[in-house]
Formats: sequence, C-alpha cells, structure tokens
Amino acid sequence: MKILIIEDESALGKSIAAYLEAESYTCELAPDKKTALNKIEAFDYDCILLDISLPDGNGLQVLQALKANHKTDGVIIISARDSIDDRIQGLQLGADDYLTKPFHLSELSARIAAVIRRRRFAGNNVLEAEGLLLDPQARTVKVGQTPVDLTKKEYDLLLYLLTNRNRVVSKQAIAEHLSGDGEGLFDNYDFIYAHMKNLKKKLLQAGWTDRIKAIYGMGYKMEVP
Amino acid sequence: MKLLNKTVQYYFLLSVILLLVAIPVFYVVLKKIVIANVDARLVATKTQLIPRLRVMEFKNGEPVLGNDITLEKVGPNAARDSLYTADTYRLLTSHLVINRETYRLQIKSSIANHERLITSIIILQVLLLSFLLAGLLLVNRSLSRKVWDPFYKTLQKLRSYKVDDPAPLQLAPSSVNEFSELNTAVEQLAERSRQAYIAQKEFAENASHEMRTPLAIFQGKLDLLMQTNPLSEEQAGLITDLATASQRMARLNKGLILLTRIQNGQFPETGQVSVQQTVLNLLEQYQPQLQMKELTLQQDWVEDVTVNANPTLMEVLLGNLLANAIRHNVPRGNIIIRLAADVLTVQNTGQGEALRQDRIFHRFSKQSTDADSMGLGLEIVRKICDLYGFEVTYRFEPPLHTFRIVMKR
Repeated sequence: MKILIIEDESALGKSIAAYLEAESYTCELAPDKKTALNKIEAFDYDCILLDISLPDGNGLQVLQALKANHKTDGVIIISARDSIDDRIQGLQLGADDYLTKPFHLSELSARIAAVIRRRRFAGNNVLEAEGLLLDPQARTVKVGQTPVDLTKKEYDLLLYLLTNRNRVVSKQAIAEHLSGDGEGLFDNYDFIYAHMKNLKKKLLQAGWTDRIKAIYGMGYKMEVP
Repeated sequence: MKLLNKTVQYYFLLSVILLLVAIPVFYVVLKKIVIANVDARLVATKTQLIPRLRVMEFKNGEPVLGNDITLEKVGPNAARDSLYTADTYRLLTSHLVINRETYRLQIKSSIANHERLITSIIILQVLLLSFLLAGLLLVNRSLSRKVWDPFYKTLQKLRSYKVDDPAPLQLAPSSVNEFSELNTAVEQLAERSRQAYIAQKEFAENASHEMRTPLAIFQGKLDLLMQTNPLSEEQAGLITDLATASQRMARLNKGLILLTRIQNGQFPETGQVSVQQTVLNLLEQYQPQLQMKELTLQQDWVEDVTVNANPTLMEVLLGNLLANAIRHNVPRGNIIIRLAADVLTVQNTGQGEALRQDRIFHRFSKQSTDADSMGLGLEIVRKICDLYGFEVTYRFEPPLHTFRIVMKR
C-alpha cells in the first residue's frame, strides 16, 4: 500500500511515515505543492494525506488536480483549520476524510485503513486476527464460526485495535476515538476499562485467545503474530 | 440635571431678578416724572394767577378762586414756596404780598388719577414682561432641543455600540461645529478600539491555530515513543503523563478556538433545536461517566423548549453544563435536571462552598482542583447564552449548585 504524505512540517511528516511504515505501508513525503503535484502525476497512491496550508500554495489545489486527472486516490486532509466551512470545502472537492491537528497517529492509521477499505475493496475485506473475523461492511464479528454480539462501543474499540495491531494505542487516543464529538469534556479514562473488560470477556467466551494486552497504564496493544 | 434645564434655569433666574428690580425702579421713575409734571403745572398756574391776584380787589375777606385754589391772609412771615404731597393731592404753597398784606396761596392738584394710570401701566408692563419671559423660555427650550438633537443621537448610538460589531460606528452628520467635532472624535475612538479588538481577536485565533502544528508533532512523537521496545514501566508512566498533558493542551486549544469562533459569529446556521432531546442525547453519551461516579440522576421534563439556534452550539452549551455537573460532583452524588417554562435548571451536589459569583463565568478562573477542568467551559456557556439572548445564572443552595438558563423561544 502506498501513501503520499503532503506535509510541510518535516517532523510531523516523518512521524507519520515512521508509524505507517511499521504497518507495512510504503510512504513518500512531499513537503510542498510542487513536489506533490509532480508525484501524483507520476504515481498512483492508495491514500494521500494532505495538509492544506503549504508553503507554496493551498493544498486544495492538489485535490483539484487529482480530480482533473480523474485519479481515484483516497485523500485525507490533515489541517490545523477545523471550521465547518473548511471541512465542507475539502469534502466537496472530493476528500474522503478530514482530520484536525493535533491527532493521534493511531487515529490517522484507522482512518487510512477505512479509506483504503472503501476505495480498494469497496468495504468488502474482512479483517482477520487469529481466528477473529471482523466484517466492516456488515459490522459483524465472529470467532471462527461463532458470532460475537458486541455493543457499538465495543465494536468500535475492537476495530480500532485491529487496524492498529501490534502497536501500542494510548488510552487518550481510544477515549477520543470512542467518544467522538463529545470528547473533550472528560479526562477520565475509566470508562475505557469497562468497555475493554466487556469486550475481552465476550471474545474469550466465543473461544478467542486474548491477544489484547494492557501496556502499563499507558494503553493497549493487540499482539497478533 | 439636563444641560438644557441648567441653562434655562440660569436664564430664568436672571429674568426674574431683572423683573423684580425693574418694576419698582420703573414705578418710582414713572411717579417722579408724573409728579414733576404736576408740579410744573402747579407752578404755571401760580405764575398765571399772581398778576390777576395783584389787581384783584379784596372784598369780604378772602376771595374764592376755585376748588383747588385757596388764598388766606397770614401773619407777616415770608416763607419760601413749598411743594409737597398731602393725601392724594399735590400742594403748592406760596406766600405773596398784596396791598401790604401777606397772603398764603395754596394750589392743589389731585394725583389719584395719575396713581391709577401708573398702576395700570405697571400691571401692563409686568404682564408684558412675563409673557415675554415665558415666550423666551419656550423658544429657548425648543431651540435647545433642536440644537442638542445630534448630541442625543450620538449618545443613543454610543449606547448601543459594541466593540465586536462588524461595522464601524457611523454617526449622523451635524452642522454644528462642536457636535461634528465630537462625532469625529468619537468615531475615531470607536474605530481605534474596534481595530484593536480585531487585532487581538486575530492574534488569539492565529496563535491557537499556529499552536496546532507543534502540538501535532508532539503528539505524533509521543505515539512513536510508545512503540519503542523495550519500554520500562517507569518510561511508560512518564509517557502517560506527557500524553495526558498533550491531550489537555489540545483540548484547551480547541476550547479557545471555539470561543473565538463564537465571538466571530462563525455559527450562522441555525435550526429548531429541542432542548430536551439534546440533553437526553448527551446524557446517553455521558452514561459511562455517570455510572463511574455512581451518580443518581433525577429528571423532570415538564415542558420541552424548542429554540432557534445552531445545533452544534446548543450541544456544546448543554454538554458543558452537564459535564460540569458530573465532573464536579461527589461520588454517589445527585444531579437534578428540570425543564419547565423556558427554564432549564441543572443542579448537582459537589463541594460544600458556593463558587465565586463574580468570577464564575470568566475564562481560566478555575475554582476546583480537578485537573480535568480547563477553566473555559463556563465562559463558553456564557458566550453562547449571550449569542442567543439566553440568561444564565448560578446559585448555591446547600448542598446543591444550581445553574439556570432562561431561554427565549
């Protein structure tokens, strides 16, 4: 899977690349609009991460160029601006998603995975981990042949961990992911423990070997060889 | 006291004093003139009479010369002529010698008629002056009102002027130099404050936005740091603290940007929002937090209120209130929510003391030691209430902290 990171802050671009490369993505960096336009003309990418404020112009022009060339690359805008107008403008120009800085790399990774699923597999790829089958299209979870009945939060949590497998996902990132827009009012992560406990219990009952590990007080990691 | 009344008061005082002084003076002068006139006539009569008397023959004592003239023989004392007022008469007494006899001649003239005339003139004068005075006052009043009109207009505009108005202050032009100068000065002052306000607002907005990129770098590096192997428990603890701090920074940043955006009026889209429905949705969302603290929730939905507002902002407003009620609550505490007659009341148990009224809705005036709270929540609440003309108040009725929002439909 090839990812193009159009971001003028090299420190941020490198962080994203380092995180994604560990998930077997191939990443290329474009620090400005000119490089970005050259690259999208020459290559196809599975997903493009696009910063809107670039030193030599507006990132939305890259989106327009993609559209003009009838490219089907998935695009996620990563921007410091998060007004509704900015979002609508970006999405209207054909971006798949809009992520506001600062974000957790695990969140970015989950969004990239979702975009690629939608674009490349029309949502029809089942995620698999040690006999655990998660179908994002149907939103169902099975262990082998046994269906597991999960609440919405538990499902979201499982999908998040699955897309970030073998990585430590911080509890802050999980809290933000689970609570969505309502996030920001509580710093209390206790509710994650409750969801996690229930999820693990249900998966164990369905016969799955527990691969979700708590990493000290920091976060969780799904270890799948 | 109005400036108008003040000036008129002085005019009035001056006029009354003038009137009070002028009328007696006028009376005295008039009387003097009349008497001088009468005296002149008496003297003239005497001058005419004397030659006639000298040639007159005196039979049967003193001759009767008329009602007003008497002639009587007196001893030989040659006093000088005298003029004086007796009763309502003016008397001329003169001594003259006829046929070696000394006679006293007295001529009198009534001044009662003149007195009446003077009184009439004075009354007329007083009336005339009073009318003049009243007329002057009235004219002055209406004139002043007209002249001061631009001033009152300016005042009215200034009263309704807010520094965050999008348009600069525009005052009506005035033909009076003083007022047009005042208007220019006021307009310039308003414009300067507006520019300063805009600059400050832009600074806050830019600073908040610029902070996001370094924050993103920081958070990204932290996420990478978490992946390093091997990782000791000590390191994990440090990273967790850093991650929590970074989260708070991000949250603070979000809050500041939200505030700026509310002030900038960047939530123009409005719709019909049901307060009850919004609160119920939020409570559903906060279920884990409610359970975690084992809070007892009491809801009293008497009558739903539908407001015309931006749905996101309404959610932020109500969310902040509810989150505060949960966050600042004590374990196993209570939350009471009541919606009736356009008033939403959120009550919660919490610390035993009232929050400080004067600081409660100001940013960063945290009054709890809870690290969760960032001190922006209630300021955001107030700003949203201001935007929609809601009224938010806080009261402490032990053991309940009460927030009331009066909503306009």
